Amino acid sequence: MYSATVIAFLKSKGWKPAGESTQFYRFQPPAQFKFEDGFMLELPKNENALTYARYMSNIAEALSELYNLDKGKLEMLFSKTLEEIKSERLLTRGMLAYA
Amino acid sequence: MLPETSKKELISQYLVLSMAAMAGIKAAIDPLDHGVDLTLKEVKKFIQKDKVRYMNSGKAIDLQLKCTTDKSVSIKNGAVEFNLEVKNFNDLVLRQRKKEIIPMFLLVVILPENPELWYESSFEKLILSAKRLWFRPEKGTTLSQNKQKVSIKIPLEQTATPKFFASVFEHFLP
Repeated sequence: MYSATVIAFLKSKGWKPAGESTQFYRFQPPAQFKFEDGFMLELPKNENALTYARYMSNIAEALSELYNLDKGKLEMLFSKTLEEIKSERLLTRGMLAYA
Repeated sequence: MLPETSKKELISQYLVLSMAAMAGIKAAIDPLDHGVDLTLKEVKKFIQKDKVRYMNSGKAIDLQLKCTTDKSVSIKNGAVEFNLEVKNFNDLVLRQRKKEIIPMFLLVVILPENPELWYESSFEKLILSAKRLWFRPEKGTTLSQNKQKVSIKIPLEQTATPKFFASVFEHFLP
């Protein structure tokens, strides 16, 4: 899974970048969710960490719970780069024009 | 009839599950293992459209569980000495590295030698006689080159309680 793709998803849902630590990018939830104790979602910077895939799977699980989305579909989406998503969109748009 | 090792494994798993539940965190047994016996997950409460909801925060901590009996450990100078397999020790060392984002610690559960003394039950209570200590290698610890086991010393102050589990995310997360 790619952090950049998850970040794009979060921004599209109104999450705001709220700084970073040495290991994580932090995101503030949109106002529609009122979390206890100032919760921020943290996305890892290092995609080469041994536990990166498992951490991202937990993030996909969290977001699927939050937005009532299928976890598997979200994981598939997050497993694509933004470039891959763009080119797929162009491809499907072209196909649909002739459907 | 389950073999003694399976009994010990199950008892230690449910001991962790109950302490984590008391602490209000989620604990899940990892069916695939890969050196991880349980994963603790942080749960956050939030309000959406006047309804209280809960979700995983994404943060997790892995746990290696070892269950043994009094005879297999020694208590000296305020610490329990325990022999851990090299692979398990090195897994803990790797997870201690700065870049790692899901930390891991070891929990050693020590039961009395006599299985009849493990549980004490009455109508009101069910008491488990189990010492339980957590361990994580110090920062900067290098991988062990030992062939089979590494002797570790766990101070008795590192007793795992529901209170310890309640603060586990503040304690271990980067």
